[in-house]
Amino acid sequence: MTTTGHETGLAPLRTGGDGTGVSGPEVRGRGPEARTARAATGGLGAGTGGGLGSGADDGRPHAPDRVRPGVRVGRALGLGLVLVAVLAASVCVAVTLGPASITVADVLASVGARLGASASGLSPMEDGIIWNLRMPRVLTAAAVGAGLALCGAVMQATTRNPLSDPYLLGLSSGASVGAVVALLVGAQFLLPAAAFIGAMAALLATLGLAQLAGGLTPARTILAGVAVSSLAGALTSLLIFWNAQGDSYRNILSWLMGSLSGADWRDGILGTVAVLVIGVPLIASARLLDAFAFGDDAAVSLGVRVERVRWLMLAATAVLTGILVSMSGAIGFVGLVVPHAVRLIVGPGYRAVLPVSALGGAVLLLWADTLARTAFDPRELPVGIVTAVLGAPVFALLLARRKGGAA
Amino acid sequence: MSLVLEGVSVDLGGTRIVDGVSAALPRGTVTGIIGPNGAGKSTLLRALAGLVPVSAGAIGWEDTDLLRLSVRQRARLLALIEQSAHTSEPLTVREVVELGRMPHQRALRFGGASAEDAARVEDAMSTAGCLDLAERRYTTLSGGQQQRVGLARALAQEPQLLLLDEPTNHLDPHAQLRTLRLMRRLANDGLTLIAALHDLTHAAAVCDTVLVLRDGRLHAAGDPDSVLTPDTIREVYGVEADVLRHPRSLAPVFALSLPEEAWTAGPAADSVAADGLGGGAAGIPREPQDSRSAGSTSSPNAVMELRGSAAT
Repeated sequence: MTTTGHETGLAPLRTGGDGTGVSGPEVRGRGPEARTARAATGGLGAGTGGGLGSGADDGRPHAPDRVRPGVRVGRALGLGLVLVAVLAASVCVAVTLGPASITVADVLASVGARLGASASGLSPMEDGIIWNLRMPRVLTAAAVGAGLALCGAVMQATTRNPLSDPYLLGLSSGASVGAVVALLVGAQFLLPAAAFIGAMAALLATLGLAQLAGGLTPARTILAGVAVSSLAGALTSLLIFWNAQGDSYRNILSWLMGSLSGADWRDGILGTVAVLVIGVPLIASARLLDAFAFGDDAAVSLGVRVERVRWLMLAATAVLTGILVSMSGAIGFVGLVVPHAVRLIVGPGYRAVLPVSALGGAVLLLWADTLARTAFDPRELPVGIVTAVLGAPVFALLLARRKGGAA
Repeated sequence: MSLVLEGVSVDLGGTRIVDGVSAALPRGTVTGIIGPNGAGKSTLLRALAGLVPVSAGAIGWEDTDLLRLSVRQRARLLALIEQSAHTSEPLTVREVVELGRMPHQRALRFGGASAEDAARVEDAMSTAGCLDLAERRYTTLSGGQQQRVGLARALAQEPQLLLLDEPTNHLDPHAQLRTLRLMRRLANDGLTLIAALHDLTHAAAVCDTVLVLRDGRLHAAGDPDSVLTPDTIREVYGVEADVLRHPRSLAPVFALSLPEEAWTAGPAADSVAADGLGGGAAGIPREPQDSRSAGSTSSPNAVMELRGSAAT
């Protein structure tokens, strides 16, 4: 090997020709001695910026873009624990809010009585309001929020598109067709089933179209989703235009904008179970999503079977979204905004992003729904309006901050 | 012999890109794949990495059939460093290098990297020379720095085979030489390296074996001195080559020119450069001047002519 000659020829160039006013001898990056010396003096943790910044290869100072190790892990863990506590407290507090005055102590007593502790001492009506009306609704809101945020994060990773959300594969518009049909024929009790069938039909159409176009690449998946969404959206509009009047029109509108007003225990339990059964494996395989960061080829060379993983992940999120959308209607912005907000705090690693997003989504939708049902009491707002009104400005703020951060 | 290619062919979209390449590459050596654009260099590397299917032939590594390995087994055996790796995620360098540990981690699991993973990541960054960048954001790095991070990520995979697609492309001279030196050192440590290279001087400096591809076929193979001859270079690239020697290291240096260019004007180009008429306005004729010695005589008229053409 003969590069020694080149190196000696290069040395004067490096020290003399810099001209950018960099002070001190240029020793970095030269052989193992220099490296170990640096590692020994500089260490790895905080405060290395000063020592290394002055001699960077590109001559730019780079203190601002440093992220100290451990900070992200600590933040993720801390934020996760805080959110668990906030979620538990939110459930208790949100149940007390509403026309009937109920205290947190009442809530705990009622729950305690169900779990076998001493009798609550509440009137049957108070107990019924807590246990049969508000509790299932709060639980459903938390489950739907957690599921949507989780699915949004997974969609954004598998399609490598920051604008992806859980409805990307045409799910919400497919569910809408099903729901509108159910409402128009007056079979309200069939609405969840019809919405779920509509969502799955849209999913199959999208994946089939993408596969037909040559495979499940991010771009094809998104384009196929757009095509299916437009078609289903037009179909929904057509149905409403021809048929809907009066009450059914109002019902349809409320469903299309997302509402949890019909949530009962069946919804709460189904939603929670679905989020756990599908969400836990997703969180366990979060590392696979990290591998998508540099594209499909890089993921393959890291040992990831890209096509299979993308199929499985998209199918899992689609089924979960289909279940949630069938009970809540299309609630926007939660799946889009929450993962981005979480990334800004805990960093881009999906092992942290997925669980923290789920917790954040649960807390967010729980409070958005509480606001929706109490703000204009006795009238109820569709919760989708609340999430959009809250979500859009927050999203704009995040975008602006991100630009300022120059990341 | 460690890596054996037997009649390896790759078809993409109905076109044969790589056609019956056979070679045997010993462990602990650097092999350069050279050839003009479209000769199939990158495709051959991608076939080895399992990114494109091999349509015919066999690839063996020691006793294993490379083509029968699962994606994950292959990722433990070999790593590919592509020309440039882009991401929009604000990952730190350490997080990028940690990705290299994935083939060794269970797919379904909770929790972070193990102590062993952390140690391997640290080693890989230290070897590739990017330990000081560990907490920087990958997206803010220069091309040369990103390339070192890519190397570190590949090393974190603990591969036995390292595939590099034009590793010196887009790099400044310092980063180029640094990359070549590291490649040499890794081979001395027992790794087997295969690199697609454009720069013949680099290939001659770093490679034990050179495979010359032309239209997907193996045109010549062997050690650089016997393969990188003016005849072969003319046949493959259609350029005239003068093989010079580096004044201190005595490594071969290739001075290239287009056959129809009347390089009688060559000496003039040297004086032009000495006069400081840089800037590449002269286009192609500037290329060979790097390696030509400055001692040649020049005619003032030729200088005037070249200046005139450069100004227009």
